[in-house]
Amino acid sequence: MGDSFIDTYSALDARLKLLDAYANNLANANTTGFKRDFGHIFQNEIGFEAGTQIDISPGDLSSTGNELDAAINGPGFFVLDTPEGPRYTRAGNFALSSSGDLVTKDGMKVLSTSDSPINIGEGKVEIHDGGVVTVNGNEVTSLKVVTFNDATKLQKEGVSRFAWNGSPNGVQAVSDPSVRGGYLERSNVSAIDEMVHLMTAYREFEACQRALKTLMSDMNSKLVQELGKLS
Amino acid sequence: MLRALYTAATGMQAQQVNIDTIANNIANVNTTGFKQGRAEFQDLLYQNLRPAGTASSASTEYPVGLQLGLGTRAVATDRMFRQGDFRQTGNALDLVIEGKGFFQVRLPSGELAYTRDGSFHLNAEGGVVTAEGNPLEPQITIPADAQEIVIGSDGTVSVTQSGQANAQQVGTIQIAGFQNPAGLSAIGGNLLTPTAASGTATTATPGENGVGRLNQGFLEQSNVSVVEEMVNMIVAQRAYEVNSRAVRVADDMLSQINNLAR
Repeated sequence: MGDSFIDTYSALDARLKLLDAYANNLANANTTGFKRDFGHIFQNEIGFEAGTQIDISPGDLSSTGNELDAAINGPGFFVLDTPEGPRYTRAGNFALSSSGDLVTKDGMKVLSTSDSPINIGEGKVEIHDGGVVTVNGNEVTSLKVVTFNDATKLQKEGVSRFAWNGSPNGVQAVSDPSVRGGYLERSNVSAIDEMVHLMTAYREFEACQRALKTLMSDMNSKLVQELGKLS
Repeated sequence: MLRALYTAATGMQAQQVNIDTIANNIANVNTTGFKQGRAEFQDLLYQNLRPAGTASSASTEYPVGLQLGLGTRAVATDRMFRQGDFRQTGNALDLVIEGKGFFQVRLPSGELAYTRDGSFHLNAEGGVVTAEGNPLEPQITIPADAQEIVIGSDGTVSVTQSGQANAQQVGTIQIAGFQNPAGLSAIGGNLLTPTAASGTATTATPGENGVGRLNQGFLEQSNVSVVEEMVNMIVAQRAYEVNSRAVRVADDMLSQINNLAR
């Protein structure tokens, strides 16, 4: 078996991985605060490999009028207190826990600029520009928003959360974040773009498949000839 | 390979939940006191096939990794407690809560349930009940010879009886507030019951402790916006379509792999 066989096979396998990544993007076309993965293919010593990278470009903001919805208009992430340590999210579809804390839909507490949970209590909640949270018009606290010095060190954990794999110094608090109350950030997946990526990967896969088939039939006929000579 | 098939299937399932929620909203566009539902989604787990930063040789590392997601799931159907529009009815027992809070009604089982639907009626004994006959809690009885019923913004119910000049107070309507109203569980019939997430009800006089004031002669309409629901429906349908397309592409690729060895 020659190099061309391994090259073609690894190229085909890499397209299968890309298909998985694009299918996941499409499945999350309606997930609040979702960030798409973009796929790429590169060559290593033995063939081709697929890689993914998180595209942290912003999604569109849509008005919901819900007082506990918040969206970041610009860079940054909300900070969550989880059992595994701090985690980060762009999904601002918050809720209140039975004790009156501001939490995500899976119950993780949202942190304030003083790194403590945000207790709302009862009353009319409003989230203003700069992340300021008011209850019945009185300022209670501010939402913490952070940015990272290297977005490639962010890792997705599912449930709309990101983990930070870089050094702690790489996390910087944003002093006056542009936070909009009553808005949500939609997924940054564009169905049209994603379909184009999907179809491109599919056609490339098809080409690899043809090449692989030709190589295999070539090999088979050679095998038969060589074996024929031996007898 | 099969990952993409299942991933796209989770996308289709999620959009079905979305359409179900939208259909229920549209069906309740004329339901008094109905609160719009919203399906919420989260991405599922990720498979880390090659974490970023792993060594590509003795001295170099991969700057980016290979992380493949496994799709999406519906995590919650949230209720939007935005105030609905008021409709004037002129009926003395039609009430709206202007602000937060719920009317408290007693179910036949003896448990309490909560509602924003303020279209009350009288039963044969003169008790104030919902359209389904569940009495308001605390119970209020209107005397049979009452000429006029006046309900103040603070919930005091007074009646003028025939032959009497002065109105007489017969009870006070209380409003229940919850720490987390979105955590209430809907049981149909415009009724909600408390859960561990909603916290327990705290009753208050209308207009106090953060609960809303009462308005007599009005009803709160559904807060569903048909235009918004139609747009949501189009988005959900298109999302469903692209996911089914991804299933087809995955299936095609599988069949081509099968064709390799022939």
